[in-house]
Amino acid sequence: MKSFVRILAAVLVLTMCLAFVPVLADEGTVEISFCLGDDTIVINGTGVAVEKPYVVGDGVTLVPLRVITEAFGATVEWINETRTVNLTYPDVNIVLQIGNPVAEVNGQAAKLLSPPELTPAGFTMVPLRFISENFGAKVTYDSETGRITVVKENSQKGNTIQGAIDSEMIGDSYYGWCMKNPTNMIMDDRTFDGLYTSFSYDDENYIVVYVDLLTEDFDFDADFASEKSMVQGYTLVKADKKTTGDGQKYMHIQAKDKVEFLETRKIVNDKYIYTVYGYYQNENEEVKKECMDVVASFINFYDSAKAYDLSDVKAETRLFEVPEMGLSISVPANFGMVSSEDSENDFSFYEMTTDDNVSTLHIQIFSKSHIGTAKDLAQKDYESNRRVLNETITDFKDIVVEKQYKSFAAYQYSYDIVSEYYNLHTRDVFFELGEYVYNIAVTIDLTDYSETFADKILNSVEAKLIDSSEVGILLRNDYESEGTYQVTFGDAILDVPNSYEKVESGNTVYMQNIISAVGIACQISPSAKKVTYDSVKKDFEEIEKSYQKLTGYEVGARTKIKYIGDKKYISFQLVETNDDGKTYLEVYGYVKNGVLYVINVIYPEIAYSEANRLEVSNILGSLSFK
Amino acid sequence: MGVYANSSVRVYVNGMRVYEDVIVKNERTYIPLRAVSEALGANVVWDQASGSAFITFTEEDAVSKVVSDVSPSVVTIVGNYAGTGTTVQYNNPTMHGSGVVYKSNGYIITNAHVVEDIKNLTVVLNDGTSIPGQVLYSDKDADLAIVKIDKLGLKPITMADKSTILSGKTAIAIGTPISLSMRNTVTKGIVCGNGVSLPDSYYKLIQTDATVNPGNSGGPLLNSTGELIGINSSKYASLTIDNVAFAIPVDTVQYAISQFEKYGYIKRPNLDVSLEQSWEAKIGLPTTKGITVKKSNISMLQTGDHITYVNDVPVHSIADWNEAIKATYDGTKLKIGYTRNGVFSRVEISC
Repeated sequence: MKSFVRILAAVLVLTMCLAFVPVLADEGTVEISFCLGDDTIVINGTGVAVEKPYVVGDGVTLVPLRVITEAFGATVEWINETRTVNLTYPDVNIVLQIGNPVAEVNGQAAKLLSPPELTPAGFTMVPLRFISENFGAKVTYDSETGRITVVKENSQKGNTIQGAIDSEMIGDSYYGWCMKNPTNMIMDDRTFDGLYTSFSYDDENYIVVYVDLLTEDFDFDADFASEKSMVQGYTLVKADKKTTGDGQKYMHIQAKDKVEFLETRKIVNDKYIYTVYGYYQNENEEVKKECMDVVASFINFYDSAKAYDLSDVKAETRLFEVPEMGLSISVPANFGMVSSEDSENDFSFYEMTTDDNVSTLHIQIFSKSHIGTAKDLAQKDYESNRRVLNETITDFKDIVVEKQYKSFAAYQYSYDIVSEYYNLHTRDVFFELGEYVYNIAVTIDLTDYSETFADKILNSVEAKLIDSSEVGILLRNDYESEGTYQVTFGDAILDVPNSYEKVESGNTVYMQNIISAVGIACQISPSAKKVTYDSVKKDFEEIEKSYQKLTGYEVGARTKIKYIGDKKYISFQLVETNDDGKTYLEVYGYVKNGVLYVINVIYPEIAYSEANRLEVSNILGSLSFK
Repeated sequence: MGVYANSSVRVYVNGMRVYEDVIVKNERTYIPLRAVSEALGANVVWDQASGSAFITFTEEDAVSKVVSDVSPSVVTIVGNYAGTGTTVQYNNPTMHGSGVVYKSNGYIITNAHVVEDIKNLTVVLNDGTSIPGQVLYSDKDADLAIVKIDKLGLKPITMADKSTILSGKTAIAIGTPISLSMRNTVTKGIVCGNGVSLPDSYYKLIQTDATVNPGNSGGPLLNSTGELIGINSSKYASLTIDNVAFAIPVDTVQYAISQFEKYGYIKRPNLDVSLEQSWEAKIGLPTTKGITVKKSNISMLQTGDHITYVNDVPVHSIADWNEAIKATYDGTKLKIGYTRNGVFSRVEISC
């Protein structure tokens, strides 16, 4: 009796399965949706009449086996004697047994929260979540509507891992060069401005590509001689130079010794000097040969068809990003970057030009807690610059004003420096974000650009809130320290402000003001016999005369006695003018016990301000003796 | 009574089904000797002459069996470094770590630091198949992340019961140290310590001397029966230090997985208060000083309050605080026990 019913149930189950057309998923997607107690389940969009799903035990939903097989397209095998179901799905084999809480997934035991059941009508009910998840679908329950949804999405395509760039050639479209791709090496470094790129096989085998701006004073022949002399300890293998019809100059120097091999190739056109330098070990023949091929292949022309472009110039700018500071700014493509190692909050860029005037961009970030507000800092720097800069050539456009840029509101002041030599506009901008103050100073060469150029740079700034717990405190290297220190030369002592940094060289003590660049050089004038103010006067007048004869020099003030406080000095002033600008040189002599103490003061034109001259006066007035 | 083959009796050894005919006789279950022995990792030698079977089973056999059973659950996670800059774009450097399958339909647990800054993430299975993967969830503080691949029927790891992790017991690490050519290699040591708090670790860790190296991160630390006791995450490396490595314990791993599945992230209380631990706690010395409120933006706590209980769990260090929250935070509130001016009080704060 019993066995008869069992067989019948098995047959019934099988016929139930076969009676309806399976609603198979298309290419991997599966969607099943129903509410508990429904007698219709939506499978892949089609409603199918089924035995009602129900919940057992601790919230385990059981559904008719058919739901699973139809939705997922799994094959079913029913083993009557053991009341076991074998479900096969690509990659997954599940074995379930009626009443057994231990199932098998690919031969591994898996504990079910509730065992599969056979309904009185003979339908096999299996745990929905267990099977769906093993078949890669997600089961969700909406507590408000009571709806259960099972979704399996299509496979997601991922990207394969990439190896290094393996194009035939690499190059730079902005500077215009390309060469064979050194696929046996890794790129160690490339500066932001692209002027320097280095590749290495290891520490002892490397290639470096430099691009430099061609300056007026570049002497190709002298440079060639200099490069040759650099390898004078080695055996010269090649030393070629030539000038081609279009004016381009080439040189190629190769030298070696027992262990090493070096080579330098240079190409000079009307704008740049391209240098490729290779250094290899002789023992590694294969690497050496590959490197030499790369160096030999270098040309100052960018082949866009064959070469992978290392240049990241877009719309005439390069995007400079500092992710840790949440900062990005579009720097003009013709600006190089001043490399400062270890600088996390100070970035400097300069225009690559052969002009006298050089545009610059300087970005600094400081902690508000240390530096004060943007408004205060703007005011402080404004006042300091007014003191330090030569008022006769500097025109301060405005006091500190508020200005709105694209992504921040700032306090700023600006000034123009116009003289025979200078033609610059500087804008010093200060803004705050979170716990930090940002200072961006843009100086532009008015002969080449207009003020809108500065606007463009400042409007490209994007700043995101910095996480101070990650970044910490950022300080400014200010010479806040009021106060002086003593400098001695011979028996003489001067009180010099802390803003002057001291350097000693032989018998001369040299100091330079960090902010204004005013320089002071002190020494004792050697003399066989004792001197007097009269003898010094004669000597100084001789010097004056000889300088006057030279081009570029003028006498600013004739030799005369000058009292600074109660100190009797004898001094004269020269004004030197050359391509780099104007410099004021003042010579002060002090005679004590027949010995001449000389103090030379050098003012760059820009620093020849009243305030700076007063500061120097105080230094001179502090002269004392041991 | 009687002898009969019973195909409804299934035999599993360490969770793996033994597919042999089972005979039940006189209420005893019989299964071929070789099948069970070899499933255990033992060696069986049948000596025809003496008609005897010799079964040998050494600790070594047990360990190598664990390794071969568990290896299908250990994966290597490889990808390219997702940095910016011309050098990165040209070199396309690769980086890798290890991971463990914890759900058969493609869910893998690994360290957050393995998948931070990674792109083109690819999972390499034990059998060498490469499959693209996606980072689903990640938590920097717990240093755990979940990666999903489109593969079914994977062998998931079994999680050990945290109470079975004891100092002195065997610890086996499987992973891919240093180079992909050392994929799924094994090292062995012991559990050196449990509940170790390191200054820069959010939760407490297991210390082991099983050798781990860069690339092992995210891989499993197993006990002698092949259960997961931790996820290898870091080590101390210096000229003066040897064999000190750390793994995130299994209970923290399970906590992270359940939080990721429930919320998509690890839900921590939003308490607008900054806390400080005593100098003893900072250097790792046991103390009963509690943790101090450094700054408070809520009315219920003030600067200077000494907190000694969180949800009735004693706390005397920041690590204790993190562990207490991990164990007891219900997502809505915290019960804080604190001393202010010598007076002890309790307060319940919604956060």
